[in-house]
Amino acid sequence: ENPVPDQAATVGMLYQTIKQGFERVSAMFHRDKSGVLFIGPSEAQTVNRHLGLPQGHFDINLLAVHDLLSAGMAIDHIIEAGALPLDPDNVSHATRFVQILAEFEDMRRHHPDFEPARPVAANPVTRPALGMIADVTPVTHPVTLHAVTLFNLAYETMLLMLTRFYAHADDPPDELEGLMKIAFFPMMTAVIRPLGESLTYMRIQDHASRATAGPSFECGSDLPLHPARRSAWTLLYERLQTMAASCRNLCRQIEAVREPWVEKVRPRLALLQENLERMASNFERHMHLRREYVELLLRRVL
Amino acid sequence: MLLLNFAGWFQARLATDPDPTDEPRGVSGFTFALAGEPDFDRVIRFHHPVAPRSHGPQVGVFVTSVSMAGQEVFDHPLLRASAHLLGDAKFESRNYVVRDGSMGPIDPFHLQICGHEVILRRKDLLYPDDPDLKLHLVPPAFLARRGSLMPMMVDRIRIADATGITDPIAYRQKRRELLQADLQQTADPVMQAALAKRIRELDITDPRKLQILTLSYYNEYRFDLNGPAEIIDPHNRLRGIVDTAQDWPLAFWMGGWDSDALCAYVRGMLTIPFTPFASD
Repeated sequence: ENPVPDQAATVGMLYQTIKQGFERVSAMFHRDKSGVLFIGPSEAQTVNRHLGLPQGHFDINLLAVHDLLSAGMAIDHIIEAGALPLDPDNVSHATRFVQILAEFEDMRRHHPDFEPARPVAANPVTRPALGMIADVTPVTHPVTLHAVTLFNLAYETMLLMLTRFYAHADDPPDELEGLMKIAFFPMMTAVIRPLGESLTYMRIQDHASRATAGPSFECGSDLPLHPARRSAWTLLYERLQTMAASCRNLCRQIEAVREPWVEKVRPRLALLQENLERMASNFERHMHLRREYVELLLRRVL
Repeated sequence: MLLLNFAGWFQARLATDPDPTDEPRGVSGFTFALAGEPDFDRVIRFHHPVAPRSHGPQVGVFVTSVSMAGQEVFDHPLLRASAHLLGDAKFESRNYVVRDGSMGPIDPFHLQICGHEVILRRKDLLYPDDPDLKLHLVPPAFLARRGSLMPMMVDRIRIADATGITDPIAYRQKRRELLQADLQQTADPVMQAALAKRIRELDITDPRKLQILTLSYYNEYRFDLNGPAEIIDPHNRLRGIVDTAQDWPLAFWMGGWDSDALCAYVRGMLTIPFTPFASD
């Protein structure tokens, strides 16, 4: 059989095709009794209780997938929750964006000066020599470069946290909770988003261009996934401390800048710096790292 | 002892999870600054709301009863006095950074009761050893003392008793009808945009959605005001001595969050050590 599905007209139809694919493969396994469809312990999957959220809170409904029935339910949920149309004429998030585009183009026809967006440059990068995309904009404004570098450090750290969280196996529940309490709301909502938004106000280059920066999401290909769990917590804690210190320096640098965007950005970065300091101390406490340092010290002394 | 019961609606113009604490307009949560309204400032206002929304509850927190030595006093000068939170108090959970969920402390906490030319004010110090210590450096135990005693809980009876809201969906539907009528009447495009957004949000009737659920939620707080106090009573209307050396126990709950009006209800009791003059 041809494994490549026919082109789906909508995203919803694509997911239906995926669901049919699971049903077909499951039927094949049952025919030749070669094995089960899903391997791996379902208790290792992340569901709502791992995030400390009741089912449906913030529209989050994570389902463990361990057989054909649960796989089908998960796909049905994706289609329903994502408002993915099965019919090309149904309204969905995609059709709403198309509608917004049409309204924007109509507004521009009547008001050519209408500009609802900030002048964010295309593909901002801190390291142009490593860029794989032809059309990149190097970040050269020194303060902005510092901020984008901080963003990338935060992004990498968040990825490391999420990798360890989703790959949990036999981690003690309190450590998993400690990781969850940092990786989601604090990192995503209190760090990544406000810092990313602040970047869109900051001049990307240190000359007359009015273009602003944005998150570059530059990430080293060699993310340090430390195999030893306790050592990984120490690494993450040190990263949080580094981010707090970097943000403190960034706030000091901002004080010397006399550009209009500073007024928007200064209070956000000040709050970010406080949050990063608190997150580092929270993580140290949740993961009992201070106790570990004391134990290590005592072992060396005794 | 002087027991002051107080209650009323307050305003808090703030973004809600999963928006960041300092989100100025509301994007991902269920509260939004509308066309024509200023940015969110998160300030808890017991009086003088900013950009109050039409058909919302009347904002104002007042003393509802006064008791001394176990007896209610019906002509006390502080009866119907206004209660205020001074100093731009805000809820400070900071997206689970300072404390989980809605359990963060209200900071600063500077309560004022004033009526009939009598003013009582008392601060609560979050970290008495260093009152100027920044919030993010305060140890967890001190934040817990000033924060909500537990995560937001549902208590429809408590909320209904205080606010009269027995059916959140019907409450919102009534508001929607009033706004729909307003929309038909106005030609102002800014007002139209604001009303249309409110109506779209009020169209949400799924009882599992936070817009509905939070009308039945409450947080509870209980701590003793421990900071500097001020008593202003130029005409000696209190007819006694307020003890400012002892802490003043305070207990209150906040709930019934109306996400359309950006208001919620507060009800509480302040206990003030007080010795009436001998002739009383």
